Amino acid sequence: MKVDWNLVLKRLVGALVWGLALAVGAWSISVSTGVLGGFLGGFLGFLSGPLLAKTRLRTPTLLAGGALLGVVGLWLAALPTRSRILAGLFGPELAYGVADGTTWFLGGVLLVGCLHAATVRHASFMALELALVCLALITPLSAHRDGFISRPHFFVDPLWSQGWDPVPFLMAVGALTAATLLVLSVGRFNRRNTLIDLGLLLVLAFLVTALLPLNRLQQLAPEQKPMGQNGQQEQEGKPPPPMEQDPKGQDKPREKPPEPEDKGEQGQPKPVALVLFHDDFTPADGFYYFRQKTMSMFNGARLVPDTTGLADRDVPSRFPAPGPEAQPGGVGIVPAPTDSSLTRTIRTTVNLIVAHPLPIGLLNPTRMEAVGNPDPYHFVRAYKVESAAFIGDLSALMGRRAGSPLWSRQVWSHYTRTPEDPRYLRLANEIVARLQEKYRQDPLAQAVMVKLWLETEGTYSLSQRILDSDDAVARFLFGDKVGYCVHFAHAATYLVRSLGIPARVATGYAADARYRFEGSALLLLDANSHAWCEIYLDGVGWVPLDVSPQRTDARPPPPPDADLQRMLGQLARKEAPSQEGKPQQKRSLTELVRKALGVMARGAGVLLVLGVLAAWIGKIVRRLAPYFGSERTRVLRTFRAALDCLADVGLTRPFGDTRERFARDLGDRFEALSVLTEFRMREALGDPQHPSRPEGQELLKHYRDLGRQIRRSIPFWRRFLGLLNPFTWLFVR
Amino acid sequence: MNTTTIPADRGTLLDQAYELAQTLEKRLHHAIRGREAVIDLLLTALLADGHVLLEDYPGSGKTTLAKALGDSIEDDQPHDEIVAFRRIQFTPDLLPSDITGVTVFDPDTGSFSFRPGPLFAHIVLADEINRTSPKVQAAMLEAMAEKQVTVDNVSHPLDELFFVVATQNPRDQAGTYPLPVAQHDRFLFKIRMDYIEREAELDVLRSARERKQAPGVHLPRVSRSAVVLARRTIESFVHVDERIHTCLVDMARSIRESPHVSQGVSTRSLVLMLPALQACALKRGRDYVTAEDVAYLAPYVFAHRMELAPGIDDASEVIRECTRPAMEALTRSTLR
Repeated sequence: MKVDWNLVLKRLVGALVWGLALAVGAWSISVSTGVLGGFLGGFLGFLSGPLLAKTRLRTPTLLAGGALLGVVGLWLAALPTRSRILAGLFGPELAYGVADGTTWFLGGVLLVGCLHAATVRHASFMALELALVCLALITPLSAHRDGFISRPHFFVDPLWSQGWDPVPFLMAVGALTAATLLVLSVGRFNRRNTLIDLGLLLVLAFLVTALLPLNRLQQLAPEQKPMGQNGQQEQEGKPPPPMEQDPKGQDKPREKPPEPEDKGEQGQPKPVALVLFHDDFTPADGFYYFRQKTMSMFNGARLVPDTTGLADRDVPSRFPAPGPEAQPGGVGIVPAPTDSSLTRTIRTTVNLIVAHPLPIGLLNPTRMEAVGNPDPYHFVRAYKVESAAFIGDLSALMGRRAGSPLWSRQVWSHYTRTPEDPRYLRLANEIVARLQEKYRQDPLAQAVMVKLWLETEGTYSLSQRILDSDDAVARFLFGDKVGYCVHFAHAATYLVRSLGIPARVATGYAADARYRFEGSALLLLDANSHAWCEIYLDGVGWVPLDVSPQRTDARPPPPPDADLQRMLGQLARKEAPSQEGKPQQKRSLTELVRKALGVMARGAGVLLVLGVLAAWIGKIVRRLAPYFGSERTRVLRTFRAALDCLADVGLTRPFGDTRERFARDLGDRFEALSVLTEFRMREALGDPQHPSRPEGQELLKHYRDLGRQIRRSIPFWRRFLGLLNPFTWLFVR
Repeated sequence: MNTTTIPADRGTLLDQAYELAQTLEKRLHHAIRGREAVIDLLLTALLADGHVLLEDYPGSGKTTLAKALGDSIEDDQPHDEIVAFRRIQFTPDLLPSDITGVTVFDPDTGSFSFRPGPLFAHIVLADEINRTSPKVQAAMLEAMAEKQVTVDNVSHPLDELFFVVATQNPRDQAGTYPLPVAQHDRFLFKIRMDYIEREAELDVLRSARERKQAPGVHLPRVSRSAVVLARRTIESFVHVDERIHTCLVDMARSIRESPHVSQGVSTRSLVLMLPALQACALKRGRDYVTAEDVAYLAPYVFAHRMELAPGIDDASEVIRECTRPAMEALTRSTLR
């Protein structure tokens, strides 16, 4: 019997692919016996597919039978763990191993067998098969989704330890999978074609991943939005709404307060920024506050960002510009005068992973300066921030005056305006009344009392998110007191303002200092987005007054992935080479590719110029050849020059035509060509023992005749263009 | 038998052969109008010592053509029993001895003597060769291949010139014995004749009377030995370059490998094609074979020797496609 080796090879490769796919799929979720079972199941299943397809069973019957058998088989396979006797017989470890191995084996054989049998009968099942193979193969690699480029560990750690950025490799795996799938689905199973296809696709995929900036973290997790980004982007697009005097105005454009935290909603929290601390600093209350935006202007209905330009001048209005012209005040920061004994200058670098409309900075930023993006691959921008951070305990601020004596009346009223609801003042007074007599006039003590009261009375809940009505805060505060950070921040602000203390709502990120893990990098997640109340104390500036209710139904934001934080920190510390001055430590595949492509592009340019020059020289040499050189090859050279002349004006022999035919087709216009053709053919194919070589002069005469005939029948512009084109002679065959 | 000595001068001989081809062509052109291509191929086959199978309908002039050819060749050995032209109409009841000849008892001498059949002629027109039984076909084809007939265990050589023009009707196939591919192989060319042009047909009518009265008498004829000499000249002196050989072999191989062909062309066809190429080159006034000759003759030589795959019916297109790479390689080699 003749063995069709191609078929055998195809079957074996297919079976191996399926076996590997199931083994890989089992590997991430099962024990070693499961891997073995998966491999054998996939292998045998694929081989049994064609045999099943040959049976007389109808395809639906086949599939249904397979499913039924699968249920029975899986039940049987689970017996070692389910049946007490068997489990006792095997012992727990062996029982589990046997059960898992059998499950994967039986499942594999039935699934792959039935599926492949269906594929043999109907080619369209191939798509399903491919999709399943792909799914099984990428399962162990899928842990890097949502920006977790530090996972899967088995893949990333070896790369990282070598100093390689894992992202291109993750991309390469994806590209490889896609290319393989494409080749398989196109189905051109021919050794050479497949290799060529695969190579081309890989090159294409590699170029795409290397050259397009599609592999930033947010592209890995395209859904995320930082807190309040929606509203802020809307505002950026159009000028701020005019101040509305009428609190009941119905046509007032709705300004949404910042979006609540998204934590717990869409699975994994996503990284938004990485902060590098250049000074060791841990705040007393254990939380870092990174402010992005403030809302201090009460427009009659609610708090909105300041539009008067008088207040909130310590909040940057734009990102620092890069380059030497960047001024300290260039981002619009007018830092509040502070008592240097109470604050310390803390330098940080913020590397934004997700684009933000405004810069974030550790409280209270005094200076921002753009720096080179250390790794455009992962970060959208980077800037340095200097902050006058409050050190020490809040108690140190006791006795400080609220507000600043330098403020104008306008500013004062800006920061203390509240809704015209008497209940705020009444409640505030009630709260303050609980203070001891000696503290009752102290602004800080009052504010802290408000905070404590809210923490005791309020309930933190993400279920309560209604904020779009104008009296949402009042309903919260004088209602069930169930709300989230924005509610609490607003309520605290209004209450404190009622007491005459300047306050505002700030939004940004609040991160637990412990999550720095003693390192100098802190990864901010979207789950860290927060809103809090700030009060102004003379000599200190804005102090956060964060309400953390005692009762809560939400989990605190999870710690960032320590590995990811460390990795991104390492990436961010590699500053732009010009600023650091030392050789780069990290090898970046992308840069390498870019450099190589640059060299290749330059080389290609030089080669192109050289090619044109060489073509010109070749053309000239061939054109002049009939007049020089030895007698022996004169006919050939003349004939070639004649063909070159014709090629100049676009006349070349069609593929497959004989020379005589070509000459005959042009015969009526270029008689000389026929003569030259005959000369050449006689020389080339004639009897070498009876050569008949035309005289040099005769040859040249016909060559010149041909030139004359061309000039006669071809317009000048066409001949001129042909003469300029250096490549025409390359088309002469 | 042939006593003509070959003069040493190559050029003269080639000129003579060329002249001979021209003379024959003129006479045939005079006798038949509008059949230039067929005449060209017919003379090529004659000079290449091959036989021709014409596929045509009745009344297309094939007898006239063959007869004119026979008339054009002067029998310079009138004393032998071989005549210039014979026509055999093949019918189902024909017997082999009807064409080869029989041994008869001569009561005068009291011995057996061979009476040659119609095959003993320079030019034989085998009309409707597919209408006779395979037995007769086999005898005919043996004669064509071996240039001899065997009767009663005695071999009788045919004339050295012996040239067969066989015909078959492509339409009326009922009651015929179609020639198998193996027997097609004996014919150098199979020429399909289509209806002639309008002008040529008018010309036929106008000149019918004139040609009937004086069938080319004013035109010179050629002698039989001159034709034989021309054949030898062509074979010896028309150069076939090694590159032509390469091209032929490559062509044959690519035809055999083509998925459109279930049986490719034989090596014999390539061997037979060489003299045809030489004759073709000479007829065009060349003493060397070029790609042009190959391109021109390939369909006529190959088409009837191949068996096409089911669903494919245009043999010449298949040949053109298959031979194109080899032709192109040959052509390109002349620019190096």
